[in-house]
Amino acid sequence: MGKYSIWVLDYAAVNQFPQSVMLYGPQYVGIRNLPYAYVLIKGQDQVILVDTGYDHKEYGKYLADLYGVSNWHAASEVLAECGVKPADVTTVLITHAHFDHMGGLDLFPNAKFYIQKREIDKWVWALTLGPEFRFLVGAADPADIVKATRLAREGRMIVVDGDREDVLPGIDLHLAADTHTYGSMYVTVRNDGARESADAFILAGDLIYTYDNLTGLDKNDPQLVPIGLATGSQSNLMFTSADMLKAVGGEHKRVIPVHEDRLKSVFPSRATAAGLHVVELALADGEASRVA
Amino acid sequence: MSQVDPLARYISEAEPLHDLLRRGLIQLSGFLLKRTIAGPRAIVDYEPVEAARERIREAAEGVRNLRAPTNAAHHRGHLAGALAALESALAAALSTTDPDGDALFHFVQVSERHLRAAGRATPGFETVDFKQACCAMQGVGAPFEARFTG
Repeated sequence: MGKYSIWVLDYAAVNQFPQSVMLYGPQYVGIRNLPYAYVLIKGQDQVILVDTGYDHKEYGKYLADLYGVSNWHAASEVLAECGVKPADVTTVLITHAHFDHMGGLDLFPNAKFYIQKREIDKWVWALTLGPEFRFLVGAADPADIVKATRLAREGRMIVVDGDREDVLPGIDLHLAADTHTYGSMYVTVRNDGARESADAFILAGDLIYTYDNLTGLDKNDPQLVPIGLATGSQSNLMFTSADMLKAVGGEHKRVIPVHEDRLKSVFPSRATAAGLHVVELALADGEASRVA
Repeated sequence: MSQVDPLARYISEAEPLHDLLRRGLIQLSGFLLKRTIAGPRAIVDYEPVEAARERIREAAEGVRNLRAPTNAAHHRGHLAGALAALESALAAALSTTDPDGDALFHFVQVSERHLRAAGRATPGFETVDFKQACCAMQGVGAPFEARFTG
């Protein structure tokens, strides 16, 4: 039992995602199922989300159709699997500004949002470039910048400049600059509250897509393999992976790739009526299991 | 000799103008976002404003010269409305009398509403997610042809 309950909640999926994007290097090696998911953290009188998902309308729908997203379900439906309503969410930690992670900024009316300053600064800068540079903002929904502006004016968008310990008790934010995006962020939950935690989980955003990024494909010859989609560098992604692994004592399964289809077999889980999955990473004292 | 359908011609001419306006809006909104999170005393980079100024300048001539057939007049009205609001937003961004960005935000929102309405009016014009499309209450949800001929 820890301070927080932690669930990974599918809300959609790309059924045929190229493995070459998930793992840099090997081409023409097939496809995988890629769940779209966010993380719900509950405890200490807080309801926290890591990322928002997106809203399946307007440009969000356009991008989703472009990427082959299917089986999308609204946050109200997905969170209900854990007895939570969108209005209950107090804090949202945005790992990066791609539409499937930040496209639901207006869905949580009582939440404060945290994002890295570098992600905002460089995103705005990239949007000033010509259309020939559109790869740099390709997975970002321009609508989100307008939504973010509204939130900032309401005092609900908080920018973090680098690492921040205990943004909430036992929860730390880490900047991973120039990796998947300019200002990607990962989240550490020290679920025993200890500084040198023996019960930490790292919520990695898109810094890894799969456990294979931490191990490689050859069990007899493990290696770090960066993801294949980055505006930053593969070197930075690898060193960030090494940092994340070190923080959990090398226990791979505690570095959580939300797009990993195998999460549901690594941790206790259940399928919902909608064909989505609830994956239970941890349960706080007194919290009932949502997968039993 | 084939004759170009006036509506088809309009759509092909309006689409790049819509994109320019959309980019100008995003750049001004991005500037306001950075200014808001930086705080009132911070020195903010005006590069997004300069980029927006260029986009708006490029769009302005095209929108003013855009010939709309009768069934596209409503759409053109939204493009013109978006342009006018963006020009006001640009002026607000460059002004010293709008320290809190209230005017800039107001005009960004007005432009946003116009572009959303325009985006909904024509397939392929999808843009940003706007809160209050004026046409949402006037049947813009109807099919494309019906909207342009209604």
